[in-house]
Amino acid sequence: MTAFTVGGSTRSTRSTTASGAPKNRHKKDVLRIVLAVWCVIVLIFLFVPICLVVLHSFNRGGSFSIWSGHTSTKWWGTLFDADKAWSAALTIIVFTVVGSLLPPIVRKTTGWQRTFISRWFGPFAFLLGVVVVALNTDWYRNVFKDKNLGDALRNSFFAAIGATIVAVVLGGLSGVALARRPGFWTKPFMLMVFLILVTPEIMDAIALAGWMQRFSFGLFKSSTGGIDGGIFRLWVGESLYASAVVTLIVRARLAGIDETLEEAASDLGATPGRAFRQITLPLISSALVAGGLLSFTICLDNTIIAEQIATAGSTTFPTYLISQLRSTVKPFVGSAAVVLFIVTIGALAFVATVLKRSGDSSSQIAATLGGG
Amino acid sequence: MTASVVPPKRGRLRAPKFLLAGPSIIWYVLFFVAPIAFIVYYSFGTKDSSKLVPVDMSSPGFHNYSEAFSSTFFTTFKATLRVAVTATLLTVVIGFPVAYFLAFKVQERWRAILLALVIVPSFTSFLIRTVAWRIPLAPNGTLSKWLQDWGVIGGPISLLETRTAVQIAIVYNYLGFMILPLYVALDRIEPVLREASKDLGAGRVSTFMRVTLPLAGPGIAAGVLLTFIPMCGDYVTATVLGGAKGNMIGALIDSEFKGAQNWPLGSAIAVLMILAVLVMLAIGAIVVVGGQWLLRRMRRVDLSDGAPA
Amino acid sequence: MSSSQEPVRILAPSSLRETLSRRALLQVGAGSVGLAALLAACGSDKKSSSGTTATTTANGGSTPTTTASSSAPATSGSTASSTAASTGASTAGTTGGVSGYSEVVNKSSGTLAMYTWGDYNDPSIVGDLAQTDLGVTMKVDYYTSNEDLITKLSTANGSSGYDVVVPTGPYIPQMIQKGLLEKFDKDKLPNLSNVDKLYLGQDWDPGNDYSVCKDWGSTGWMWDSSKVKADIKTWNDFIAAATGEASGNVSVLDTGANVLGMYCWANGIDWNTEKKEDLDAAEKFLVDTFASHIKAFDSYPSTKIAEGAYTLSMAWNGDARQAYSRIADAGGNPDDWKWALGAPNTELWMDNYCIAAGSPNPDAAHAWINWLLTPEISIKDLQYHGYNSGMKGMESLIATLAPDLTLGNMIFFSDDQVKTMRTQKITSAQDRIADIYNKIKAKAGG
Repeated sequence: MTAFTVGGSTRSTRSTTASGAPKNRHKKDVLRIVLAVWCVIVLIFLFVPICLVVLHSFNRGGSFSIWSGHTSTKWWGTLFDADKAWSAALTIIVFTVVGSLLPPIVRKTTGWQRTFISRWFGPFAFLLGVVVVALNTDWYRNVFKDKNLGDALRNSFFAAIGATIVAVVLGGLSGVALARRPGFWTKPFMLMVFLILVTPEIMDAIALAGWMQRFSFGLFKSSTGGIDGGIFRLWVGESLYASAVVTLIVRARLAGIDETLEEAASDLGATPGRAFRQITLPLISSALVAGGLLSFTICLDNTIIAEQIATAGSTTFPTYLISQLRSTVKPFVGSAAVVLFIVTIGALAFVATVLKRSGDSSSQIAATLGGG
Repeated sequence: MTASVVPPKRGRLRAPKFLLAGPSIIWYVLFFVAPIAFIVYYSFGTKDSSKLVPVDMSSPGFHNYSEAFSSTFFTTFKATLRVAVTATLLTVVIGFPVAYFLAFKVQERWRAILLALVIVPSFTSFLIRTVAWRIPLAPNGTLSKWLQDWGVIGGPISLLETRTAVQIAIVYNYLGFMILPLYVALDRIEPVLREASKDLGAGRVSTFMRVTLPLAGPGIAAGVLLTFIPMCGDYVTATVLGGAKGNMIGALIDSEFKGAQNWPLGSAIAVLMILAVLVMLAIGAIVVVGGQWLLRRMRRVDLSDGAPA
Repeated sequence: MSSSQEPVRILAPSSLRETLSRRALLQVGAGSVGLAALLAACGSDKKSSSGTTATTTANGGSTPTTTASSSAPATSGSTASSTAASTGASTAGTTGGVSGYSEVVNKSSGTLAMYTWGDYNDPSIVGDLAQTDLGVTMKVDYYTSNEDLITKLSTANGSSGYDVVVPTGPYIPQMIQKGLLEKFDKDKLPNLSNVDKLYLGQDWDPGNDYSVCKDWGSTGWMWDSSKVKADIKTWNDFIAAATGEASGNVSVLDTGANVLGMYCWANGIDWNTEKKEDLDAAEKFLVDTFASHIKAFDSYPSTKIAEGAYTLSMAWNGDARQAYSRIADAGGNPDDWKWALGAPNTELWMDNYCIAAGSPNPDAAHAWINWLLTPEISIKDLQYHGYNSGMKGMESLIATLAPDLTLGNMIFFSDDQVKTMRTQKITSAQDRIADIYNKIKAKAGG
């Protein structure tokens, strides 16, 4: 599992290798071309189904998988309340664009400049736009005309985001503990983590479903601020596997670095909390981001556990889709998948921007995402 | 800052040995160990569908395990294993050249884009991508008609509801999870090592076999873990595309729990499955360790013979 | 492929098209109003004499039926009108001029969550229309088997969040016994009187205290006559074709009971047999001989039939009916596909609306079920799912409300056909059947 950790340290020497060894150039190029062609073929293989999803979301017929021979946007109209959806999208775009353009304009016109503000204004404006729209649309519920599928999409996000946060916090802490405070507990704990990884999901699902009824009170039952109580169940169910993965990633990241830095901080009088914040956290941040992204995709796709423990109010997109599969998948499920895709990519771009602004080089970002 | 100040601070830093892991321990005990323990406990009971939890624990025993050791279990497990092992091998074979290309053969500015392209598909719902495979594979589909019109194939494509379809989709779904760890592992290899190997006169094949591949070992192991284990439990892909041929062990457990309401038997099968996967991983580990040992032996012989010409 | 260019609603192969001319139907409809009123009066008499439900006098559909609330009318043996106790009762739309039916529509509010079978209601009935007519926002999730439903409800133990569930008849007693269902408040279900008495007071719930018929249907098969030449008339023919011409391209329903049923019906054995030798013989045949010919276990084969995945499929009548429009959608030729009802014997199943225990919004659940029991909504739904919804005076209702209904012979069955249909019972053989079924699946997948 050490493979997850990524460092930028080897990068600097790379460029010399690529251009080096001119003797072998001709031979090398053949191999390179063969590999490039292969890579392209694999990428096409990876993208064909996605293109088909997009295409078939514009299917005029009544079924997702059967192409009627005609395109139509009627299924998009079935999914979205067009006016509200467009205004929501426009609001977010306007906020982001204005937020990104304002600092340079202000700097040019008035000469006033604060690095911190100009760096973070764009991402902040984007977040603000997201929140403003959320407050105007009952947390995006009103954007959808088909409330069933709309709710499923929303629930998927709420569940995945929550479960990811749980997984990153738990996994981060225990990863640090495993790397820095090994002891008698390490082996049983690792065994537990390993068992979580190998337990078939259906067993987790049934076990949790039976167990959860003991928790059908308070947080797990009532709706809290636009989020159904069943979502909290999903946070629990989806975070298990994800947190195990984050634990391993963080542990692996720290395994390569000894504790001298933290000790030095401690010697210089830093409190444990401060040492953690200022030394350990930056060290593991790339592992946390990679683990977080991986968790997010795992949680977003969680089908079997979600299906068992979800309540009526917390059906997620995969659960919805799997129940559609029992009869006929309608083309607007394709539209929903496209939306899910776009929003996820948007979130990804946001994370990348934040990372970039906080100083990571672009190759490090790629590597971080690569770890996920 | 004298030395005498240090020990108490250090003591404070080190005091709670596993405090940081505390939240995880509580979380796992509450939501993993306890519920799973109940299920394992149920595996010793008998079915009683009149109860809300349809298990009668009055006469516990191992009868479910002897029942689980049936031909049904073995047939299904064999089918699952075949799909999972084949798919894991295929993802390595397909994914390794891609990872190799990304790590060594591509310019820096392209690398990030290509990496992103490899990752991006896994941000769409895997279920809808699996369903999407029904489109090109359908006998009455557009692709099938084109291929027939062009005379590439004689009859319609007949891949839907077959094991081949399941195999394609599983390889597809898990390819990204193999490429990324492989890439990361290859990327960590210091170019100096490969250069040194070449300077010492090793050919490209030799360098690959003796330097690159062994160093990529951890990445391959991580990739196998990340793909093989979920593949063993995945039955959704198989249900969507495999029809009767997509009978996986996960589906068997699911049908015992939900279809037959036989929680004890379902639990017993699940426990057996976990054990079987662990055994498979152990076998895999032994093979790898044994292989490394052999490799090391061979290498030692080479060196003692002196440098090749 | 020439017909694929026509965008007209070719829902049926010409041999099966049964669309009646509008004018003829209007005449029938006008004539049937009186008949329906007569039938309705007749029906309510009979029902009240059986003392099971509250009855509502027929008010011609357009007159409000709300009267002072009366307490516990369920046991009163009189024909006195007793109507909706809840406030805000109004009448359903007056279109179609159906008379002799109770048309109470109770307004409600909030969210209503239903857990049901796949694609089992007209999208507008669980969407817009429920919003406008009842003020209720619907949420619908699907399950594939009654056991799925029971597992979900029993693991949640009242916290599942579902209001309305739709189990099949024989499963209702164990659900009642486990406390998974809530008793009806019949004051809120005045439209129960619209249900044909044939479908009330079934074995599993004699008083209709927990359940009311949603619809019922049967099992048969569809085959592509361009690929499978045999004329498949009986279950024996089905088995012969499945193991012969159609081998490897057969789908069967994804329930153990139906696969066992196929064998039993073909061999003249009681479907609900508990005899060991019968089950042994069934296992031997199904696992050793039949399993390897199966392509898929699929309870809703219509979409995949259109994709071209099967040439012979065991199917429920409503899903088979939908297959015709899907085949046309996919550019196939619906005329190639033939449908037959199982013979000599076949299944009769009835799905029922029930209210789940711990239902968060029982008021809306009652209002919604009651609304579904108005003729207009019931027939609208029927046109979508293609199963008989069990309204009394069905023929005249169809003539008035759904004159364009296609493939009626796949929805409604003659008395002779109904006589051959058998209802499933939950017996001690349940575990054995599940075991056989798993073996079939393992064999088919190996």
